[in-house]
Amino acid sequence: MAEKMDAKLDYNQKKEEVVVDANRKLRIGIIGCGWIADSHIDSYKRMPDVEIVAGCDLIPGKAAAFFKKNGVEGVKTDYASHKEMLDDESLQLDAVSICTYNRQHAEPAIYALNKGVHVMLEKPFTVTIEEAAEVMKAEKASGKVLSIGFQPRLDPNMQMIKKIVDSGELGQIYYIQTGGGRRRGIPTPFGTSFIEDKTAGLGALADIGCYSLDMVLNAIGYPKPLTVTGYKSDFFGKDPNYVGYGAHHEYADLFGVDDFAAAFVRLEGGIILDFRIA
Amino acid sequence: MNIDTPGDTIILGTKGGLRIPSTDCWNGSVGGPMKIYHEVCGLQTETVVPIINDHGPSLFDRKIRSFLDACKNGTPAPVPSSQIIYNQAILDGIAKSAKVGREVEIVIPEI
Amino acid sequence: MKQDRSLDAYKSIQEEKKTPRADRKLRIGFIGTGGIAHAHIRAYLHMPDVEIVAGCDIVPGRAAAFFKEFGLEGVRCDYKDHTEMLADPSLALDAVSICTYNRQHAPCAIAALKAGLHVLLEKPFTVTLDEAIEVMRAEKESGKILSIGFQPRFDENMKMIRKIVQSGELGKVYYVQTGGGRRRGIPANPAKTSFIEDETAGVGALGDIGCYSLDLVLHALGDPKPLTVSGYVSNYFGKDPGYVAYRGHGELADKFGVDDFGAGFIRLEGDVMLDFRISWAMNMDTPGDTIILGTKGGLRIPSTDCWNGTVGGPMKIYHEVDGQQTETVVPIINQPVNLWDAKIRSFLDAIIEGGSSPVPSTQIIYNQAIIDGIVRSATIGKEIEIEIPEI
Repeated sequence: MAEKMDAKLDYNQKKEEVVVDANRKLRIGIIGCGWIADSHIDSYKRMPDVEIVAGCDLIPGKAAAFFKKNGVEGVKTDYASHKEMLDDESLQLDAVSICTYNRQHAEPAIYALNKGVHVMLEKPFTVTIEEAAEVMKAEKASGKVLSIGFQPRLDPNMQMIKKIVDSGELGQIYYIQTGGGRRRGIPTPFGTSFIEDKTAGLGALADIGCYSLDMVLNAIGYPKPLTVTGYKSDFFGKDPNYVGYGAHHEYADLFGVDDFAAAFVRLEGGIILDFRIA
Repeated sequence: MNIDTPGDTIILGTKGGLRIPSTDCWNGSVGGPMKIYHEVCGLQTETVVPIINDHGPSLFDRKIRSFLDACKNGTPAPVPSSQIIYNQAILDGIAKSAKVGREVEIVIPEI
Repeated sequence: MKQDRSLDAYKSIQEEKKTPRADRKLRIGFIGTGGIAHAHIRAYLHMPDVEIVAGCDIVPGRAAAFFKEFGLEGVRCDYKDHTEMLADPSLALDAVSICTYNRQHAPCAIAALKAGLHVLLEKPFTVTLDEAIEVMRAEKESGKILSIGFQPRFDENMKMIRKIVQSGELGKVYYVQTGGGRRRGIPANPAKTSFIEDETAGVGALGDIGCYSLDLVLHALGDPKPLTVSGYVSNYFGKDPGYVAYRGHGELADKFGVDDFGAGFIRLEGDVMLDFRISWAMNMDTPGDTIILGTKGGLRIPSTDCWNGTVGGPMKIYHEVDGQQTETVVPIINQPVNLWDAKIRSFLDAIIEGGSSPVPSTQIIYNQAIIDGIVRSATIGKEIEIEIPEI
């Protein structure tokens, strides 16, 4: 009896463990040392097979301060641009995390792939579809790994959504409604890079909308979208008295993206996707 | 926006519907137990899908780990561009459609 | 002096239309004596100035049984169809209630208007936009009253929605989401298939209950013109012989020829997006509340288990007060008025006083255009532009 009980306990506690070969270290660089880069470096620090060797940022000194703040030493940061960093052969970079603002997603990704470096690119993929296609061309030519930063993919609850759909439990899917967003959530934590057209290109759509889309599209197997009827507005972002701006009424002048968007999308397979994000 | 939420995510199918509670922000996680609405022996009923807490590493750690493994092992990217291009196409389509005030056909450029 | 002259003109217009009715009752006829006719007749029977003189139904004997059910004697109903009844001058009808299945709405309304009768037409207006235009042309030519049966217009809570929007409390409205419907609510059984067959109904959930949700929000917004529609329809449940409410009568699935689910995305004049879905059947309790988003406030109207003919619970206005995000509850107004009585009364009053139609076709044409647009767009899989010709 005791034996059987133990076996049961063993079964419950046994987890599939990924064996990480710490002897094979990957040499990592970080392009863009702003807000989301903190999350990247946090995770990298916990990996036994990673050596963070370089970083760069458009703002002089920001990269150095970033690594210092995160307690990582011996990182080369004296680069004026990502090109300089990727051109530096001595780094022997294996991969980079790209954590720049939206309009600086495509170009560094292409440059890195062309240099034979794997790329972990933050979401949204790019600003325009033309940019995305160019990145994919570089990816194809390079044969390197390009992964786009949708961490909810690794959430077991999000994975359950896909399992339920794949199981056939819901039958044939024909209509999906998703989105949501924030009541007062225009992101200006460190200035205006999320809200200006020249840095962000897209607003709520790209900042949070892409997550809702990924959740449902991944669940149904990412069918091809055929048509879109879309709507965008910026009533809140352009309001100088928007409560979230505090004293920064001038942000309203700088606001150049969407703070709300809605769409009706026809997907391959006769599926309608109804979407709004704020 | 002047509302708390425009509603839960719902996925309607011929045999069942899935309700995914909205989150206050960005659908990066599930806002509560999900529900499958379906018919069991002629009765309309709901099956609760409980929240899974697997106490594992953070999502970001898993994201970075899966990327590193793909780099080392030559396996495909965990979140491949061939999927995300469709996500991008929708965002792009919304922007284009909103500009012209009409529906647009989505054209994915040749890769 | 100018002012006096215009007043005179106003008075003379009033005199033209005003026909004193204090001394006699309005003579009412019924075209179609099926389900919804029961609600009409109950309301008419509450009115002191009404005489129900005639009725017809294409089902032989049904009209007679209908009037007998309500204890009415001497009602003329030996007509095989509305044409015969309208051709009988001895009836001296003032108005008719048209309670037929959808595809007979337009022909009966046109015939009645041409016969010089006022018309109370049940919803949906018609099946297609083209039909609706034809009815409106007949209406214009006849100079008679045409009212379309949206009784929720008389509900104080529904009126409050319009008051809130029109007051500016929400600021500029830019996005509206509405609809809903039933989980298992296809209205059909072996004895009654007029709601589900294409040759009688023409449209399904869209016309049966969808039009109510559309009217709720469109009227609140001031009846803006719809510009484009991208739409979708499906019939997975209706075409399923195993659909539970068919109770084993799989042949109903063969007869099912309309939509059991419809969805649309509509651009309205004034730069407003309308997002809409309605179902007779779905695997969900509700797709969500009706929400009206504006620059200054958002209104949440709790969904009802069915058809948005009423407000499902206290409404909420989401707005900012002194920098704080807060909600103001709009309590349910308990009203003594019977919506059907109000609907019938408003129609009768419009006839007596020579006023304008309580629920005019000039508004409902937009509702119809959206339904029509959803069907046409769904057929081609693309957005369509809505065109409403001159009447």
